[in-house]
Amino acid sequence: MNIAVYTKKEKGFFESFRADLENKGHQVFPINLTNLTVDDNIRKYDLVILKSKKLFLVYAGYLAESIGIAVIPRPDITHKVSNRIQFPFIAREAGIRTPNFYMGFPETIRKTLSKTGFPLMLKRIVGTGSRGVELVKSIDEIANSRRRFLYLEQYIFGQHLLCYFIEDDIMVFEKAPFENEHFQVKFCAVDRDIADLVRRWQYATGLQFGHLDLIREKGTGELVLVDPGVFPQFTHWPGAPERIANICLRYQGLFNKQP
Amino acid sequence: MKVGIITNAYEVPRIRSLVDYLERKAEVRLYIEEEFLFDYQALSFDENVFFTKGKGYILLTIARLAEEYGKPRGVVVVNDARSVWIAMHRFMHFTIVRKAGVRVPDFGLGQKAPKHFGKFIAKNIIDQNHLRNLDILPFVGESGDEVPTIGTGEEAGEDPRVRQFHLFQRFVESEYEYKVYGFGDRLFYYRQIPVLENPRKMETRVPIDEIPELKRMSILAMKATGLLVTSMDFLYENRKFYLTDINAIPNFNYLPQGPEMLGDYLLDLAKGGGGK
Repeated sequence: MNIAVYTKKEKGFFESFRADLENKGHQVFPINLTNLTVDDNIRKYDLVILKSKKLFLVYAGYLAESIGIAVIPRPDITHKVSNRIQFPFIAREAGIRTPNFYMGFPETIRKTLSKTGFPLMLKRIVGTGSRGVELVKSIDEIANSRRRFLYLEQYIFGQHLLCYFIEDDIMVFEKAPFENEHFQVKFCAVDRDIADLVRRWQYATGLQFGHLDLIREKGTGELVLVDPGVFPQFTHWPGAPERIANICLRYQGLFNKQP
Repeated sequence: MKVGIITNAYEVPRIRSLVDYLERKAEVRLYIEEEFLFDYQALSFDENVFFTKGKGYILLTIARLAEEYGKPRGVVVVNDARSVWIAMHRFMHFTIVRKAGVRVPDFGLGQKAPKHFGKFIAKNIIDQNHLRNLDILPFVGESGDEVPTIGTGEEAGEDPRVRQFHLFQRFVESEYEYKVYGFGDRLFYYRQIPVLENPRKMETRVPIDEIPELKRMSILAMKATGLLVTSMDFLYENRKFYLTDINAIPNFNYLPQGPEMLGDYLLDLAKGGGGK
């Protein structure tokens, strides 16, 4: 089978993932912005795996799906989950709390946003993850921003948790604020409310694997979803690449059996 | 009755006649992107219908939240955030309408036009006002031609390589350009000299009778994208129509009685009439 993997990185997770698929007799074609073209030549693939959430790579997923090729994860979910102005609506539907957020042009924010609501997190409007995230302690720090518009998120004080899930299994780690999954983490038990939240997220998105950045709020103990991810590197989960390769292959088999 | 209009400063002069007409019959509330602080948890809406005129991300987030609030009451957002997003993303609207059975020219995304296109037209990937570099766009070339860098928009990410990508479409040789305006179930047909030949499009635009094939393709395209109010461009080559563009924020002022017609459509939706 010809498998296209739209991926930003070809190291780490991808190396084991590719090796596993190739050992099973498949041909794997990694595609990124360097070698990307998105047109009807995509028909030569039997399975498209969207490892990246980058817009042009997600377009490829939509195109593949439109012409009847199995795509995992589904491009629509990759798009929505990876978009800060979309995922809170999915979370709301799943009964999962997300931080409040504000959006506006810098001048409007300066004039109208309450000065007592800080600190806030300044994030890029599109995309998730810790890249480009800044802690803003007062309005003065953003008053002269050169960004066209600003996305500011309520800062939640509490314990930062990295939560991976693959099918029915969950792993949870404590991590330092503003750091991604590649930094040092501390293994934690899977509390019942975390397991319940993951199930609700899986039900709302249909995702079989993924990750959630959560904060257990200081004082209330409530869980707040701050950043979901569709296809993490699973840095701290031994054996994840092989397991996910199996899920992708199984999905392709089921997809092709659909009428 | 309350009508919410979600728009931006650029569009405000273009909706003046619509607002004037609506204000005679309903309470109109304007949400202007540049002046609006979006506060996710504090906002609520009680309008009976919304009209979206613009493509900015703040504006689309307001529309998305209005949909959430309106859903239990059956409130319609014309056009909803998803359909505007699809229309803005040319690759997406080509993909989606083609799947629905609408003929489109061959298209692709890349750094160079596919060889088999021969003559091609390059367009910006995401259609937003601040990305409309009219000195360059639209760019017509032959396979192998270098295309100048065109802005791609925030959504494409900060990687500088994204600026080397373009949306390519096979060039369709057509004597005329056909324009179909859609307001719910009502379609209006026009013909003009292609804009690439005569940019002053209104000078040559004339109304024409309904063409069954255009009607079929327009209805399919509107259904597939979810657009309730739109304008669509078609070209005609070798006895076949091709949809070449779909617009989520058409200039309804170009239609005779356009603001009144759109106003009545919105008011009917507000009353729960389905937009007759």
